[in-house]
Amino acid sequence: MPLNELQRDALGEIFNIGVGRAASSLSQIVSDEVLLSAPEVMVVHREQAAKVLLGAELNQFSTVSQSFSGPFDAQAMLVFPESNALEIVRLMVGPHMSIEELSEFEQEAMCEIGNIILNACMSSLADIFHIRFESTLPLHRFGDTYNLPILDGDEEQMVLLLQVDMIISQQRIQGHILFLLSVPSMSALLDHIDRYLSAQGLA
Amino acid sequence: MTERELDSIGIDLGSVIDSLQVGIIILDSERRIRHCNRWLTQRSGLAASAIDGRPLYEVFPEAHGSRLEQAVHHAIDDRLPSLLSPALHGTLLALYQTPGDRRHDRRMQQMIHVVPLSDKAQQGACLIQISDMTANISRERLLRQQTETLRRTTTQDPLTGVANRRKFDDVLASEFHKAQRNKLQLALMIIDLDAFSRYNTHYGRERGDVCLSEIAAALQDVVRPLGDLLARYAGDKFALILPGMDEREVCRLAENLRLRVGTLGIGNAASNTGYLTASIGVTVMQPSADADTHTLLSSADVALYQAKHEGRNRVVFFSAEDGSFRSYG
Repeated sequence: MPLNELQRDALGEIFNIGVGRAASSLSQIVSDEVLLSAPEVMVVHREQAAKVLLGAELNQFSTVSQSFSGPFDAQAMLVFPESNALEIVRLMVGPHMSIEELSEFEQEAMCEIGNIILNACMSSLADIFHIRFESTLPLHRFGDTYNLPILDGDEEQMVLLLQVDMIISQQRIQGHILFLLSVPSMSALLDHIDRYLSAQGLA
Repeated sequence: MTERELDSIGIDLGSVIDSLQVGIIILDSERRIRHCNRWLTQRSGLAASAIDGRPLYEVFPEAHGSRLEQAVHHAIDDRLPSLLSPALHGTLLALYQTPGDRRHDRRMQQMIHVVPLSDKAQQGACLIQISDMTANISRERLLRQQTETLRRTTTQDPLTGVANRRKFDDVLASEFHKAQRNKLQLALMIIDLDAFSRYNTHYGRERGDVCLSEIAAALQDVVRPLGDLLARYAGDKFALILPGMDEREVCRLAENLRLRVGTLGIGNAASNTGYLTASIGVTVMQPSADADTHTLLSSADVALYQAKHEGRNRVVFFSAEDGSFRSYG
């Protein structure tokens, strides 16, 4: 179920509005400019998404996830390689520390950062499509690829995969946002995009 | 349990909410506080009558323009929940554990959850839940300090401040492994103070300790900050791990150190020279795949023994490859 060019551009635009809002919230929190962009959006199968994540040289990850439900359901996940997550926490919260030293305190900070980014993406979708979602509170986990939720579950799930570039204090940090959708949820999302495009006179 | 079930056993939901050990604020779509619990009135120092029905940002002006305002917007207008972590916001609301804390403006550390509520009119409403994290955070701080202290005491020699034997063993093993893997040379030096037990007998252990600290500081001066490691190896023995140094470089450095100890001019009436001197055993190897650190350590020991044997206050190099000695100084 690949995206056509119009659908991909529309999603790219919507998510960039979302991450842009998230960036201004994060900037306000740290009183420093935080830039966020989502340069690439694609729809892939679960295994391919895992491959993209594994493409990074490290296979230890920090994930923040929230389950959204509404006209379509999505399990959203912000994924950073562990070292990048540590870098974000260090830049936003304080001094350098190792994973073992990372206390609840910093994990909660990571959880909040994920919450801001994921909520911003989903509310951007909701605004544009005039729909509403409900969501669970965010959950933060450290883990390797073997216990990334993306690797198990329904074979039929599709993944909407966004690359995210975060810039804090001149440091560029890369990660991904994943939306796991069932096939019916994916086609509901595509219907919403098409309706939006035709309302814009674009399709 | 539903409200009706609570009612059937004569318990009022309001009193349950009042008994919670977290702060509860219920906002309507106009951002007016429709209910708050006792925890909140106590910690805010405000009477319930001064809170109920009033706009959130009048009761808590500090929330205006803050991330809490955005979270409330997300909860009421987008129906999405938010978490505000103590690490990023800490003391967002003017809430205090005690009146004394209020006088000194020591706000409690807060963790805030903002979640949407369904209301009958479907205008949107939300629940703000505030937890007191002050104790957790001071415990975290304490634990971190203790970790730092422990780390120092488990790897540092308390008298001289240089690495202790445990740290030395760890670093030697890892540098040895690195040299093995990358086919690099690894040099090791053992520095032994001449006639130091007699120095201790003559001047007393206290003077001996001062002397060891001075020597350690003098040796530490020449150590390259990255890669090298100076450790107190045994009572009056120091060891120096020098990755990547060849025989010529390490012997020149050893000779430099020997002269340095001599020129500190620490008098030693118990020695033939009249001042404190050092003998230094040096070795270098490029460890083969089957070699272990024992060969390196015993080669440096053999070299040191030879330096003592040749009359002390000198540097001797021993090559484990051909079993030859070379003396300096």
